[in-house]
Amino acid sequence: MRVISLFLSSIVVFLAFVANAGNVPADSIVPASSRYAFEIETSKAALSGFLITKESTANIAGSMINEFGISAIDFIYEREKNKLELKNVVGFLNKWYIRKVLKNDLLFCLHILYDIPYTKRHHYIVERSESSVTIINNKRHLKYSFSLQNPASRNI
Amino acid sequence: MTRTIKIFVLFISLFCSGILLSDAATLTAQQQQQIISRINTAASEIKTMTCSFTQTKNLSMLNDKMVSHGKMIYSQPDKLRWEYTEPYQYLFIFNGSKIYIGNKSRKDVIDTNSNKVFKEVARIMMSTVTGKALSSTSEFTITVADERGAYVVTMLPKKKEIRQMFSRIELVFDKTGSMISEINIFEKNGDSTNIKITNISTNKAVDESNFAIPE
Repeated sequence: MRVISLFLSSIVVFLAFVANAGNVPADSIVPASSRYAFEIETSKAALSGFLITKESTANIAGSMINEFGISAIDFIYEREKNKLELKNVVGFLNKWYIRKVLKNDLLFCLHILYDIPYTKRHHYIVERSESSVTIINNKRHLKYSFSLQNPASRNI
Repeated sequence: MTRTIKIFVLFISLFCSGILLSDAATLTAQQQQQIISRINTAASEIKTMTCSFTQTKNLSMLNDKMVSHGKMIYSQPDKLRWEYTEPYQYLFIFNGSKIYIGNKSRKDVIDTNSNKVFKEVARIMMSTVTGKALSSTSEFTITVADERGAYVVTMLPKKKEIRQMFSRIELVFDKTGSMISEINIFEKNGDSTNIKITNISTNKAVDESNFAIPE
Protein backbone atom coordinates (compact mmCIF):
# COMPACT_ATOMS: atom_id res chain seq x y z
CA MET A 1 0.00 0.00 0.00
CA ARG A 2 2.85 2.33 0.96
CA VAL A 3 4.65 1.57 -2.31
CA ILE A 4 1.49 2.27 -4.33
CA SER A 5 1.05 5.62 -2.51
CA LEU A 6 4.62 6.62 -3.31
CA PHE A 7 4.19 5.60 -6.93
CA LEU A 8 0.96 7.60 -7.28
CA SER A 9 2.60 10.63 -5.61
CA SER A 10 5.48 10.53 -8.06
CA ILE A 11 3.03 10.38 -10.99
CA VAL A 12 1.19 13.42 -9.64
CA VAL A 13 4.47 15.34 -9.25
CA PHE A 14 5.54 14.38 -12.79
CA LEU A 15 2.20 15.50 -14.25
CA ALA A 16 2.41 18.79 -12.36
CA PHE A 17 5.89 19.36 -13.79
CA VAL A 18 4.72 18.68 -17.36
CA ALA A 19 1.68 20.95 -16.89
CA ASN A 20 3.92 23.81 -15.79
CA ALA A 21 6.51 23.34 -18.53
CA GLY A 22 4.67 25.79 -20.76
CA ASN A 23 4.77 28.39 -18.00
CA VAL A 24 8.57 28.42 -17.69
CA PRO A 25 9.62 32.08 -17.56
CA ALA A 26 10.47 33.26 -21.08
CA ASP A 27 13.88 34.54 -20.00
CA SER A 28 15.05 31.00 -19.30
CA ILE A 29 14.48 30.09 -22.97
CA VAL A 30 17.54 30.57 -25.20
CA PRO A 31 17.24 34.19 -26.42
CA ALA A 32 17.01 35.00 -30.13
CA SER A 33 20.24 36.35 -31.54
CA SER A 34 20.61 38.79 -34.44
CA ARG A 35 23.55 40.30 -36.24
CA TYR A 36 23.48 43.53 -38.21
CA ALA A 37 26.21 45.31 -40.13
CA PHE A 38 26.05 48.92 -39.01
CA GLU A 39 27.47 52.27 -39.95
CA ILE A 40 27.29 55.48 -37.93
CA GLU A 41 28.15 58.56 -39.95
CA THR A 42 28.76 62.10 -38.83
CA SER A 43 29.82 65.04 -40.94
CA LYS A 44 33.46 64.38 -39.98
CA ALA A 45 33.82 60.65 -39.40
CA ALA A 46 32.24 57.23 -39.64
CA LEU A 47 32.21 54.12 -37.48
CA SER A 48 31.30 50.76 -38.94
CA GLY A 49 31.10 47.20 -37.71
CA PHE A 50 28.57 44.77 -36.37
CA LEU A 51 25.69 44.99 -33.92
CA ILE A 52 25.04 41.68 -32.20
CA THR A 53 21.87 41.48 -30.13
CA LYS A 54 20.23 38.95 -27.86
CA GLU A 55 16.53 39.39 -27.42
CA SER A 56 14.26 38.06 -24.67
CA THR A 57 10.80 39.02 -23.54
CA ALA A 58 12.31 41.24 -20.83
CA ASN A 59 15.12 42.97 -22.66
CA ILE A 60 17.37 43.33 -25.67
CA ALA A 61 21.10 43.23 -25.00
CA GLY A 62 23.45 44.49 -27.69
CA SER A 63 27.15 44.81 -28.46
CA MET A 64 28.52 47.00 -31.23
CA ILE A 65 32.02 46.08 -32.41
CA ASN A 66 34.13 47.12 -35.36
CA GLU A 67 35.44 44.77 -38.03
CA PHE A 68 38.66 44.25 -36.08
CA GLY A 69 36.61 43.00 -33.14
CA ILE A 70 37.22 46.08 -31.00
CA SER A 71 34.20 46.87 -28.79
CA ALA A 72 32.52 50.22 -29.28
CA ILE A 73 29.27 50.11 -27.29
CA ASP A 74 27.43 47.63 -25.05
CA PHE A 75 23.84 48.34 -24.07
CA ILE A 76 20.74 46.81 -22.51
CA TYR A 77 17.20 47.85 -23.39
CA GLU A 78 14.48 47.04 -20.86
CA ARG A 79 11.16 46.59 -22.59
CA GLU A 80 8.88 47.22 -19.63
CA LYS A 81 10.56 50.50 -18.70
CA ASN A 82 11.26 51.41 -22.35
CA LYS A 83 14.68 52.39 -21.16
CA LEU A 84 18.14 51.90 -22.71
CA GLU A 85 21.26 51.83 -20.60
CA LEU A 86 24.76 52.13 -22.05
CA LYS A 87 26.93 49.60 -20.25
CA ASN A 88 30.30 50.14 -21.87
CA VAL A 89 31.39 52.83 -24.31
CA VAL A 90 34.82 52.96 -25.97
CA GLY A 91 37.08 55.77 -24.76
CA PHE A 92 36.79 58.24 -27.62
CA LEU A 93 32.96 58.08 -27.47
CA ASN A 94 32.79 58.09 -23.68
CA LYS A 95 31.98 61.79 -23.19
CA TRP A 96 28.77 62.73 -21.41
CA TYR A 97 27.38 64.74 -24.36
CA ILE A 98 28.10 61.90 -26.81
CA ARG A 99 26.63 59.25 -24.49
CA LYS A 100 23.44 61.28 -24.14
CA VAL A 101 22.92 61.47 -27.91
CA LEU A 102 23.93 57.83 -28.45
CA LYS A 103 21.52 56.64 -25.77
CA ASN A 104 18.56 58.46 -27.29
CA ASP A 105 19.48 57.54 -30.85
CA LEU A 106 20.11 53.85 -30.14
CA LEU A 107 16.80 53.70 -28.24
CA PHE A 108 15.01 55.01 -31.32
CA CYS A 109 16.97 52.66 -33.59
CA LEU A 110 15.89 49.66 -31.53
CA HIS A 111 12.28 50.74 -31.80
CA ILE A 112 12.63 50.69 -35.57
CA LEU A 113 14.64 47.48 -35.81
CA TYR A 114 12.39 45.54 -33.45
CA ASP A 115 9.02 47.09 -34.42
CA ILE A 116 8.53 48.49 -30.92
CA PRO A 117 5.82 51.16 -30.80
CA TYR A 118 7.22 54.64 -30.24
CA THR A 119 6.20 58.25 -29.92
CA LYS A 120 6.96 60.06 -33.16
CA ARG A 121 10.13 62.16 -32.96
CA HIS A 122 10.26 64.84 -35.58
CA HIS A 123 14.02 65.09 -35.79
CA TYR A 124 14.34 61.43 -36.87
CA ILE A 125 13.89 60.30 -40.46
CA VAL A 126 13.61 56.59 -41.28
CA GLU A 127 14.53 55.30 -44.72
CA ARG A 128 14.06 51.66 -45.68
CA SER A 129 15.43 49.67 -48.58
CA GLU A 130 15.14 45.99 -49.37
CA SER A 131 18.15 45.04 -47.29
CA SER A 132 18.73 47.87 -44.86
CA VAL A 133 17.22 50.59 -42.75
CA THR A 134 18.70 54.05 -42.14
CA ILE A 135 17.79 56.31 -39.25
CA ILE A 136 18.81 59.94 -39.58
CA ASN A 137 19.03 62.28 -36.61
CA ASN A 138 18.45 65.58 -38.41
CA LYS A 139 19.12 67.63 -35.31
CA ARG A 140 22.62 66.21 -34.71
CA HIS A 141 23.43 65.31 -38.34
CA LEU A 142 23.98 61.66 -37.54
CA LYS A 143 23.10 58.73 -39.75
CA TYR A 144 22.68 55.15 -38.49
CA SER A 145 22.45 52.36 -41.06
CA PHE A 146 21.68 48.73 -40.28
CA SER A 147 21.71 45.74 -42.56
CA LEU A 148 20.60 42.36 -41.23
CA GLN A 149 23.24 39.66 -41.65
CA ASN A 150 21.29 36.59 -40.51
CA PRO A 151 17.83 36.94 -42.10
CA ALA A 152 16.58 33.60 -40.72
CA SER A 153 16.25 35.21 -37.30
CA ARG A 154 14.16 38.28 -38.06
CA ASN A 155 13.28 40.75 -40.79
CA ILE A 156 14.09 44.42 -41.19
CA MET B 1 35.74 13.27 12.41
CA THR B 2 39.29 11.94 12.03
CA ARG B 3 38.26 10.21 8.77
CA THR B 4 36.77 13.49 7.52
CA ILE B 5 39.97 15.38 8.27
CA LYS B 6 42.03 12.72 6.49
CA ILE B 7 39.86 13.02 3.39
CA PHE B 8 40.13 16.81 3.51
CA VAL B 9 43.93 16.72 3.79
CA LEU B 10 44.11 14.20 0.92
CA PHE B 11 41.94 16.49 -1.23
CA ILE B 12 44.11 19.53 -0.47
CA SER B 13 47.27 17.51 -1.27
CA LEU B 14 45.90 16.40 -4.61
CA PHE B 15 44.86 19.97 -5.39
CA CYS B 16 48.31 21.33 -4.55
CA SER B 17 50.10 18.63 -6.54
CA GLY B 18 47.87 19.54 -9.47
CA ILE B 19 49.13 23.10 -9.26
CA LEU B 20 52.75 21.97 -9.05
CA LEU B 21 52.35 19.71 -12.08
CA SER B 22 50.58 22.40 -14.11
CA ASP B 23 51.83 23.52 -17.50
CA ALA B 24 53.18 26.95 -16.48
CA ALA B 25 56.87 27.33 -15.66
CA THR B 26 58.16 30.45 -13.90
CA LEU B 27 61.02 32.11 -15.75
CA THR B 28 63.73 34.23 -14.21
CA ALA B 29 64.30 37.76 -15.49
CA GLN B 30 67.40 36.54 -17.33
CA GLN B 31 65.52 33.70 -18.98
CA GLN B 32 62.77 36.10 -20.03
CA GLN B 33 65.33 38.45 -21.56
CA GLN B 34 66.93 35.57 -23.48
CA ILE B 35 63.59 34.55 -24.90
CA ILE B 36 62.78 38.14 -25.86
CA SER B 37 66.18 38.44 -27.58
CA ARG B 38 65.54 35.24 -29.49
CA ILE B 39 62.13 36.48 -30.63
CA ASN B 40 63.54 39.91 -31.52
CA THR B 41 66.25 38.25 -33.63
CA ALA B 42 63.68 36.14 -35.47
CA ALA B 43 61.44 39.21 -35.97
CA SER B 44 64.28 41.33 -37.33
CA GLU B 45 64.93 38.71 -39.99
CA ILE B 46 61.40 38.97 -41.34
CA LYS B 47 61.42 40.93 -44.60
CA THR B 48 58.04 39.71 -45.82
CA MET B 49 55.33 37.62 -44.23
CA THR B 50 52.06 36.11 -45.37
CA CYS B 51 49.63 34.18 -43.25
CA SER B 52 46.01 33.27 -42.69
CA PHE B 53 44.17 34.13 -39.51
CA THR B 54 41.05 33.15 -37.63
CA GLN B 55 39.65 35.84 -35.37
CA THR B 56 37.27 34.96 -32.54
CA LYS B 57 35.66 37.86 -30.73
CA ASN B 58 34.28 36.86 -27.32
CA LEU B 59 31.40 39.09 -26.24
CA SER B 60 31.27 38.90 -22.45
CA MET B 61 27.95 40.67 -21.91
CA LEU B 62 26.12 38.53 -24.45
CA ASN B 63 28.04 35.34 -23.66
CA ASP B 64 28.46 34.93 -27.40
CA LYS B 65 31.22 35.00 -29.98
CA MET B 66 31.81 36.09 -33.55
CA VAL B 67 34.29 34.26 -35.79
CA SER B 68 35.88 35.71 -38.90
CA HIS B 69 38.68 34.62 -41.23
CA GLY B 70 41.17 36.43 -43.35
CA LYS B 71 44.72 36.80 -44.60
CA MET B 72 47.62 39.12 -43.99
CA ILE B 73 50.56 40.26 -46.08
CA TYR B 74 53.46 42.26 -44.64
CA SER B 75 56.47 43.78 -46.32
CA GLN B 76 59.26 45.49 -44.42
CA PRO B 77 59.47 48.17 -43.21
CA ASP B 78 55.94 49.57 -43.27
CA LYS B 79 53.55 47.86 -45.65
CA LEU B 80 50.62 45.84 -44.36
CA ARG B 81 47.54 44.31 -45.91
CA TRP B 82 44.99 42.89 -43.43
CA GLU B 83 41.99 41.44 -45.21
CA TYR B 84 38.86 39.82 -43.82
CA THR B 85 37.36 37.36 -46.29
CA GLU B 86 34.67 35.51 -44.37
CA PRO B 87 31.91 36.03 -43.29
CA TYR B 88 32.43 39.64 -44.33
CA GLN B 89 34.79 41.47 -46.64
CA TYR B 90 36.85 44.23 -45.05
CA LEU B 91 40.21 45.48 -46.18
CA PHE B 92 42.90 47.45 -44.34
CA ILE B 93 46.01 48.54 -46.25
CA PHE B 94 48.91 50.59 -44.95
CA ASN B 95 51.55 51.44 -47.53
CA GLY B 96 53.75 53.75 -45.47
CA SER B 97 52.02 57.03 -46.28
CA LYS B 98 48.36 56.18 -46.72
CA ILE B 99 45.83 53.94 -45.03
CA TYR B 100 42.93 52.43 -46.90
CA ILE B 101 39.90 51.05 -45.06
CA GLY B 102 37.10 49.62 -47.14
CA ASN B 103 34.12 47.33 -47.19
CA LYS B 104 31.28 46.79 -49.65
CA SER B 105 29.59 50.07 -48.93
CA ARG B 106 32.30 52.46 -47.81
CA LYS B 107 35.91 53.27 -48.59
CA ASP B 108 38.18 55.71 -46.78
CA VAL B 109 41.73 56.78 -47.56
CA ILE B 110 43.66 58.45 -44.76
CA ASP B 111 46.91 60.34 -45.10
CA THR B 112 49.03 59.18 -42.17
CA ASN B 113 51.12 62.35 -42.24
CA SER B 114 48.05 64.28 -41.10
CA ASN B 115 46.55 61.53 -38.95
CA LYS B 116 49.12 60.17 -36.53
CA VAL B 117 46.59 58.02 -34.65
CA PHE B 118 45.95 55.78 -37.64
CA LYS B 119 49.65 55.56 -38.35
CA GLU B 120 50.20 54.42 -34.79
CA VAL B 121 47.42 51.81 -35.09
CA ALA B 122 49.02 50.43 -38.26
CA ARG B 123 52.44 50.36 -36.66
CA ILE B 124 51.14 48.47 -33.62
CA MET B 125 49.38 45.96 -35.89
CA MET B 126 52.55 45.31 -37.88
CA SER B 127 54.81 45.04 -34.87
CA THR B 128 52.38 42.72 -33.07
CA VAL B 129 52.04 40.24 -35.92
CA THR B 130 55.76 40.17 -36.74
CA GLY B 131 56.82 40.02 -33.09
CA LYS B 132 58.65 43.32 -33.23
CA ALA B 133 56.32 44.71 -30.54
CA LEU B 134 58.59 43.16 -27.90
CA SER B 135 61.01 46.02 -28.55
CA SER B 136 58.35 48.57 -27.61
CA THR B 137 59.27 48.76 -23.93
CA SER B 138 58.35 52.45 -23.85
CA GLU B 139 54.78 51.53 -24.76
CA PHE B 140 54.32 48.24 -22.92
CA THR B 141 55.46 46.47 -19.77
CA ILE B 142 56.53 43.08 -21.08
CA THR B 143 56.76 39.75 -19.25
CA VAL B 144 57.30 36.26 -20.60
CA ALA B 145 55.94 32.94 -19.36
CA ASP B 146 56.56 29.40 -20.49
CA GLU B 147 53.09 27.89 -20.59
CA ARG B 148 50.70 25.95 -22.79
CA GLY B 149 53.73 24.53 -24.63
CA ALA B 150 54.74 27.95 -25.92
CA TYR B 151 56.22 31.29 -24.88
CA VAL B 152 53.44 33.62 -23.81
CA VAL B 153 54.42 37.29 -23.86
CA THR B 154 52.11 39.54 -21.87
CA MET B 155 52.11 43.23 -22.78
CA LEU B 156 50.57 45.74 -20.41
CA PRO B 157 49.99 49.10 -22.15
CA LYS B 158 51.59 52.20 -20.70
CA LYS B 159 50.05 54.85 -22.95
CA LYS B 160 46.75 56.24 -21.69
CA GLU B 161 45.02 56.00 -25.11
CA ILE B 162 45.78 52.27 -25.36
CA ARG B 163 45.08 51.62 -21.66
CA GLN B 164 41.60 53.06 -22.07
CA MET B 165 40.75 50.27 -24.48
CA PHE B 166 42.95 47.29 -23.63
CA SER B 167 43.87 45.82 -20.27
CA ARG B 168 46.53 43.58 -21.81
CA ILE B 169 47.71 41.93 -25.00
CA GLU B 170 49.17 38.41 -25.14
CA LEU B 171 51.41 37.19 -27.91
CA VAL B 172 51.97 33.45 -28.13
CA PHE B 173 55.17 32.28 -29.85
CA ASP B 174 56.07 28.74 -30.80
CA LYS B 175 59.24 27.59 -29.08
CA THR B 176 61.01 26.17 -32.13
CA GLY B 177 61.00 29.02 -34.66
CA SER B 178 60.03 31.89 -32.31
CA MET B 179 57.19 32.73 -34.70
CA ILE B 180 53.91 34.13 -33.52
CA SER B 181 51.04 31.66 -33.43
CA GLU B 182 48.35 33.51 -31.51
CA ILE B 183 47.34 36.98 -30.36
CA ASN B 184 44.95 37.54 -27.46
CA ILE B 185 43.57 41.02 -26.85
CA PHE B 186 41.80 41.67 -23.57
CA GLU B 187 39.56 44.73 -23.35
CA LYS B 188 38.53 46.77 -20.35
CA ASN B 189 34.88 45.76 -20.70
CA GLY B 190 35.64 42.05 -20.29
CA ASP B 191 35.57 41.22 -24.01
CA SER B 192 38.50 39.47 -25.64
CA THR B 193 39.68 38.75 -29.15
CA ASN B 194 41.69 35.68 -30.07
CA ILE B 195 43.55 35.67 -33.39
CA LYS B 196 45.09 32.36 -34.48
CA ILE B 197 47.83 32.75 -37.07
CA THR B 198 48.34 29.87 -39.53
CA ASN B 199 50.01 29.10 -42.86
CA ILE B 200 52.87 31.45 -42.09
CA SER B 201 55.32 32.03 -44.92
CA THR B 202 58.25 34.42 -44.51
CA ASN B 203 60.75 36.13 -46.82
CA LYS B 204 59.08 35.04 -50.06
CA ALA B 205 58.48 37.57 -52.80
CA VAL B 206 55.20 39.44 -52.39
CA ASP B 207 53.36 41.29 -55.12
CA GLU B 208 53.61 45.00 -54.33
CA SER B 209 50.20 45.56 -55.89
CA ASN B 210 48.77 44.06 -52.70
CA PHE B 211 49.60 47.37 -51.01
CA ALA B 212 48.27 49.63 -53.74
CA ILE B 213 45.40 51.84 -52.63
CA PRO B 214 42.26 50.67 -54.50
CA GLU B 215 40.37 53.27 -56.48
